[in-house]
Amino acid sequence: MVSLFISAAEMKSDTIFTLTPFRLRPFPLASGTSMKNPVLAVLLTWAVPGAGHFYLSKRGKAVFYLVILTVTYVVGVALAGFRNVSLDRHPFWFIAFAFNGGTTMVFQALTGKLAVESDAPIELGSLYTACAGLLNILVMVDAWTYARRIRHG
Amino acid sequence: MGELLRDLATFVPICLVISLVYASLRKDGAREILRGGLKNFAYFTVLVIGFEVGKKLLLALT
Repeated sequence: MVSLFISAAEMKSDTIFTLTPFRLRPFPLASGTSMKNPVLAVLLTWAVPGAGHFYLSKRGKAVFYLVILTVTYVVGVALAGFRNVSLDRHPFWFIAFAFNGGTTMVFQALTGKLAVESDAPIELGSLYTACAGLLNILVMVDAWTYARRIRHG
Repeated sequence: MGELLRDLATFVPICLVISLVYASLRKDGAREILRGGLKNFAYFTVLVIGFEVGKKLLLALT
């Protein structure tokens, strides 16, 4: 049964509530949060995965996203023999990579123009790199949602 | 068989990453994320293995 009632003991000043299809769930805010800009949170996440969450005082998640998405991205680039992040050579893959903006800019600058000869499979590496880019969209949406919750209570 | 194992070795790590990130969007706390991620990973891996084995069987039959 859908429960829309919460006890007075659950209502704390540092807690906001989210209405899910299942129940009214308390959503605890990290300590030290104040009004945060959702657009800035998204832009920071685009530039560096996890930076938006760091800005929103969610340090644990920030480190988690930074490590997991950057490692996946770099492993993908290494598997592809450092040839896949190139707007000229692979423009369609580049669309997916571009959602991980900062890392893509670094690799585009470092390896984009390199004439690297390698037998490494481009598709396999690009799959990993594209996943890291596309998963960063989810992280951006999460940062946006969390900042909006803080702002609008 | 070797090709199947190679395909699984390709997809299993990325399944784990996707599962963990997806769990982290819905949960808070390292233990909760790990638990949710491993649960998602189990479902996801079964799905991927089923798909790959099914594909190989279908190719072998036709």
